[in-house]
Amino acid sequence: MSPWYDRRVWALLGFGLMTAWFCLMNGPLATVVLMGAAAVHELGHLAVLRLLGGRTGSFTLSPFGAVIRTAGVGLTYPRELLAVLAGPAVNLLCAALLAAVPARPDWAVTAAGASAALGLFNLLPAAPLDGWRMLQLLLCWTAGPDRGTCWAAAIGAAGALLLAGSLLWMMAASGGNLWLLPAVLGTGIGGIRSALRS
Amino acid sequence: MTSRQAGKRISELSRRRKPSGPRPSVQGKRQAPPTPAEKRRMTQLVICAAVFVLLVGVKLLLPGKLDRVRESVSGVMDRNMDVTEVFSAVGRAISGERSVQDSLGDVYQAVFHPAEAVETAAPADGAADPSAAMESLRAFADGTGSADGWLPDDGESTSGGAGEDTAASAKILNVGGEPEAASPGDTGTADQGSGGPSQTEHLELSYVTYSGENLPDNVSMEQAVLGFDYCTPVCGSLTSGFGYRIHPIEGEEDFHHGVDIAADTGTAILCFADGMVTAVGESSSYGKYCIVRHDNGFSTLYAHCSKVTASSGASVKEGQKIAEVGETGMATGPHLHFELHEEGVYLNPIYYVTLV
Repeated sequence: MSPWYDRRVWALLGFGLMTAWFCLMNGPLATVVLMGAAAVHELGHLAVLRLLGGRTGSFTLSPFGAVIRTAGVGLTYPRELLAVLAGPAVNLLCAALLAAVPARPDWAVTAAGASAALGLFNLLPAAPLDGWRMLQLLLCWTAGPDRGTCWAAAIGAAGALLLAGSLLWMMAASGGNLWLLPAVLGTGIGGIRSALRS
Repeated sequence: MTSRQAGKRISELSRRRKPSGPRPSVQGKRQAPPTPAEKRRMTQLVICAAVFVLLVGVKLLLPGKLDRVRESVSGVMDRNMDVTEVFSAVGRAISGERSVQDSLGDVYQAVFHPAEAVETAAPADGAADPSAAMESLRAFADGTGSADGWLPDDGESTSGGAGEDTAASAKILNVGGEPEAASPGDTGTADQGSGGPSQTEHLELSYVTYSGENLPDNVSMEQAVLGFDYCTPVCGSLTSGFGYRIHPIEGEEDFHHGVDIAADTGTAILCFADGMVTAVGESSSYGKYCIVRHDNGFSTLYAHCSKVTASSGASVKEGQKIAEVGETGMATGPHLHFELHEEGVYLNPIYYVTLV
């Protein structure tokens, strides 16, 4: 039950096109390094999710990033927190390991930077990012699901719109930088959704 | 399959399909109210069609405006941050190679001024930037100096590469034997290229060539860094340099894509550098010629040979005999016509040969 015009198919196509364009513009090193960092991030989520007994429902790749949805009954708060934290944590761990490579070859420095940048970016408390998801879980855990969800939505919306705005300003100030556009759109849409929910 | 067969097959298919009857269901669907998904898809289609029609209309009615829009859009697309550099800067900060503050500066530079970062990095690599030398030389030959804008007013680049610049200009202009030009940088390389048979002719030639105007598209006047060892193919005198000249047989002005080195028939032509013979042939203009491909995208051509001794596909060493001087093809006397190419661009071989 997945017709050819399924949204996920289009999202994957968009992801492929973006990657190809990125590779053409920035060369294979940047592409491999970024894709590697993203893969490590998602594998971190998946591995910890599996270990803690969660089940993955769907995995979607789009130009805005990858989204993992869990299936069935949710995990307990601390376990889910761990699963969410795993992605950025693995990124930061990888960055530290790569930075410790002796003689510091160029590719290792670049890969460490990409991994760290991805990990830190995902820790921001903006709507669809891991940092926000952790905040939401924490708030739900401490203040109860209803109030927690509500507060998290408000904070996430504010964070996401702020982030989208500053990225947009960066694009305007530098007169281009279309690579930021997916991040602007992703966080912008996430922020608007979150704002509507709250 | 012939068209008649195809027609038959189609008619069979349609006949088979008719009684099975997807029709009623289609009609039924059409009568039912459209689902929200269908409505959305329809709206998307209408919007796309409207945008398409609008763009076509704008292109037809206001072509100039659309060109400007396209220019600004491509300008936006060109202005991209140096993603690799951003990551590298972050990586340097983590590994402690550079302080966080410096790295932030690097990131800022890579995001906001990616092209300038490259430009400022270039002079640091070495003052021997051939293009800068060439540009100042062109300005020099023009007699316009810095008023033309070839030379930077603030003296930024002259501080590092001044010696290099004058040396290069002396070397190049001396090929044409221009006495004025040789004076500013009399650094010993001056004697190398001179001694051509007719100095007055070359004086004119150098002026035309280095004025920087009307160069053919596939020609570069810059002195490229080859990155490998090389030698002079034939020791002889220069009879025609690289650049515009009056063709000795056709009598019209044309661009000479190589240098002519006069030598006796049968003189060995030595391979310019290590490489592989990619072509051996004969043409009405080049006569008997061969082409050798070298490293880094460079290749050399040896024309008007009396005989090519190397065979196509053979790998050859620097200084190895590959042909003999002759006057086959369009030539008025025995000489080697020597060309240097870099990825389809003709370079001036004079920088790499020593002449008597």
